[in-house]
Formats: sequence, C-alpha cells, structure tokens
Amino acid sequence: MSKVHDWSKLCDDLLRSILEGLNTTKDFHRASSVCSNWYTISRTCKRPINLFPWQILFKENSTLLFVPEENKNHEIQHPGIDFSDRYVLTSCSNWLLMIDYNVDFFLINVFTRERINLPSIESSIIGLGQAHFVEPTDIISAKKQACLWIDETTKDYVVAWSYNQYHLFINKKGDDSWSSLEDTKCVYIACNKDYKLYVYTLDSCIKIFDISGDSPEEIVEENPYRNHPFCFRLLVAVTSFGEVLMIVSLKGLENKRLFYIYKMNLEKSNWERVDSLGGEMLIFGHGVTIRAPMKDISSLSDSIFFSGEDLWPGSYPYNPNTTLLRCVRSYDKYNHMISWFVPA
Amino acid sequence: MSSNKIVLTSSDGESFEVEEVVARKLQIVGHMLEDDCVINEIPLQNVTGDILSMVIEYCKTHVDEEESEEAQTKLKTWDEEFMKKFDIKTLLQIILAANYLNVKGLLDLVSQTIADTIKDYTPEQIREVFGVENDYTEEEEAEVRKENAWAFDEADTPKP
Repeated sequence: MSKVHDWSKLCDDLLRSILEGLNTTKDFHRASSVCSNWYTISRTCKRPINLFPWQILFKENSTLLFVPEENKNHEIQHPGIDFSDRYVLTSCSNWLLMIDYNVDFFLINVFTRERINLPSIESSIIGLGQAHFVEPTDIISAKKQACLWIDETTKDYVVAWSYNQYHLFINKKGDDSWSSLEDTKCVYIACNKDYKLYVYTLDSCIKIFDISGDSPEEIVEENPYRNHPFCFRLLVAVTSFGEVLMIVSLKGLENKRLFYIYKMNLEKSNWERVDSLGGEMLIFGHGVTIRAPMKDISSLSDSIFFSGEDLWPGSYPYNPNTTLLRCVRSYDKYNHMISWFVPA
Repeated sequence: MSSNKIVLTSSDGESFEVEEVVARKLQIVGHMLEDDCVINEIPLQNVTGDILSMVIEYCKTHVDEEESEEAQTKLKTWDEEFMKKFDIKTLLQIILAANYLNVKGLLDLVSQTIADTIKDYTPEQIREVFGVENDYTEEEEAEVRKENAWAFDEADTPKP
C-alpha cells in the first residue's frame, strides 16, 4: 500500500463527518485536540449529545464525574484544592453554583475550572437589621432554594438564593452587590434565560419577577398564575417555553414512586394534571426543564432524574412501573452530596 | 434492468468491467453517463485498483436496496463484516475514494467506522494514524487540553 498519505487533504467535510461520528463527549474532545485544524473543524460540528445528566462529587483532592453513557467514573485529581467544605447549590450546563462555610458564593466550570466569584453577601444580610449568623446547616438546608442561569458564551449569569424563606437575594453579572427581595416567603425559586425569576411562595402562589433591570420588578398583570394558589408539597419547574410546571412527588402504595405534573390551563384558568413534561426532561431540584436530545427522544423526553431524597416521604427502591421515571445510579454513600449537571 | 457493461479504469491502470447499474452507484460515473450516453470506458484518476475493487464490491452488494426490514438487516450485517476487513489506513483510503467517486452510503459507513475505531485513541495515536502534524505550541496544547482536562484521563484509556 502506498505510504504517501497526505491526510491534510482529508477535506473538512470528511473530517467533520468523522468527528460527528464520535459518540461521547470525551472522545470528541480528545479528537478535537489533535491539531489546530481538527480543533477548528470540531467547533463547527454537531456535538455529541449527552443523553443523560452527569453526576459530580467533590472529594478532598479530587473530583469524581460519573458519565452515564460510559457507565464510568472519571476522577480528576486536583491536589491541594479541597472542595469538601463547599456545597454545590445548583448547576446550569457546565457551571456549578457553590457556596462555602464563609457564605461566599462562586461559580465554577466543571471542565475548565474557570471560576467566577460573586460579591460578598455579608453586607446584604447585615443590612437586614438583625444579627444574622449563617450556620453551616443553613447552607445545606438552603440547597433547594438556589437557582442559576448562565450563558456559556457570554458568561452572563443570574443567581438567586433564598435564606430562611424570608429573604431572597439576587445577583447577576455586572452587579457589585446582591439585591434583595423581602417578604416573598420563598419556598422555591427558578430563573431562566429571559431574566425572569419565578418564586413559589409560602402562601402557595407563583410570583414572577423581571430581574433584567437594576432592581427586580414584580410582573403582576401578566402573571397568569396570580390568584391561583397551588397547595401541595412540590417542586416548581419552568419549561423552555416559560410555562410553569408544578411537580408533586410522592411515595404511593407499595412504595411506588409517583410524580404528578400540573400545568396551568390558560383558557380555563385552573391547574390541570398533565401526563408529560412536554417532551422535555427534568433534573429534580433544577428549576428549569431541559430539552431532551433529539437523537433519542423516545427514551429521554419526559424523564425525571432524581435521587431517593427527592421524594416525599423519602423512599427506596425505584419502582419502574410509573411512566415518567428514569432511575440513574447514584453513589449511595455520598448520596446527599452529589450534584447533577448537564454538560453543554 | 440494463445489462450494459461499463469498464472502470483505476489510476494504476487496472480495469473493472461492471454492469451499468453498479457503475451508476458511483455518482461521478452517473453524471458522466448522463452527459454522454455512449461512454463505455471510464478512467478514474484518483483511485488505485485495490481500493476501487472494494468500492465496486460495496456497490454490487448495494445495487438493489430493498425496503424490507429483512433485506436491510442483511445489508447491515454485510456492511459490518465488510468493514472488519480493513485497517484504519485502508479505511482512510476508502473514505477518500468514496468521496471522490461520490458514493454516499459508503461514505457514511466508512466515516462512522473510522470514528468507532479512533474513539479510544489518544491524540498522539490519532496523529500517527492520520499522519497529522501537531502544530500546537506546548502552551497552546496545554490550553486546549485544559479546556477538557477530564477527557485526558489516561489511566482508563485503553491502548489499542
């Protein structure tokens, strides 16, 4: 066979079709680092689709990434950087929102480890006029009351954090301090790319705030959920189309896991039970649903990713008889410290 | 079905007599035939005889693409077995030939096979197989690798 191959002549289209044939993100990234031309072409490729959310667990000197498609853990060593006293509050694509015991917030990119420090919240808390001291346990319990939205390219972000239900703090790119919303009695929050903050309040209502401006403004007239309280222990999720879903998770008879999903019927102005997530998928605790990958729509759309703690009352094991579930393996031992994210 | 014969000649002078329907699977030939229907010998400059014979083998097998599920499964199995015969360097020659001769099905098949073959390769191994030069400076390469440090977790990378 001829030894003279000038593979630089492997034209861009051929290279692109080969790269697009790589099924996992890992293989794709590795191939894209071969040379500058491959890198450039890889930027124009359709990326491999991550069919499942990944799980991440910070240990003392390393980070464990569990990649479901490969059914494998990847351990990234980072000696000297100890994440064990920090908590992941939530995530958005490759970014995690973290908090440490000093109540300092920061965003970190799982892959590049790029870090964005958020302004200190201390003065905002002290400004509330009471002597506040945030205990480590508060940080953990605050887990389900934080939300993050970030744009991977521009790194514009929005972070909201609610403290002890009575105070809600918001920070977005460019703000040098946190703005606060008082008396919202926040039980659950979600924010999205439209700079809207959805707050499920203690009196079971959905409030919507426009947070694109200097200070948050409540959207009152155009809030279709106003005056329609929904009373149940639940989770709120906002779909890509800006619709609010109410998700009730229960342990039913014989430990059957049940998820009931409700959506506002705008014509009838009432909450109606629906039987799907509208083709999207949801990670429990993330306030927004995620578009399911096109490639494998049938199996992933309408999946809910959750861990045992997300159900009320907590229950094990997973029962496959309910329709809207997908159980993903977890690190049992560290269950409470595991976070999910969906790589971009 | 037409039983016209067409002679395809490779760059190294090897000739293959094939039925017109088979030759038409090579779109480059199909276009030539449309332009001038009296051609019966076609020289193919950019492909050697050994590679051309494999492309023809593929085209012969795929000449009647039946819709039935059974036929499709059979073809798929044949494709898999066919691809197993080649090493990566041959695959790269076939993909270039398939591109030049414009055989869509083969192009897709080979590019997926190449992707499946290189998926566990390290960048170094890919460079070697493809004869691609690493044009990064050390700093640039470190930067690119840093972007996805987890993808270079050498410990679990199988060595082919």
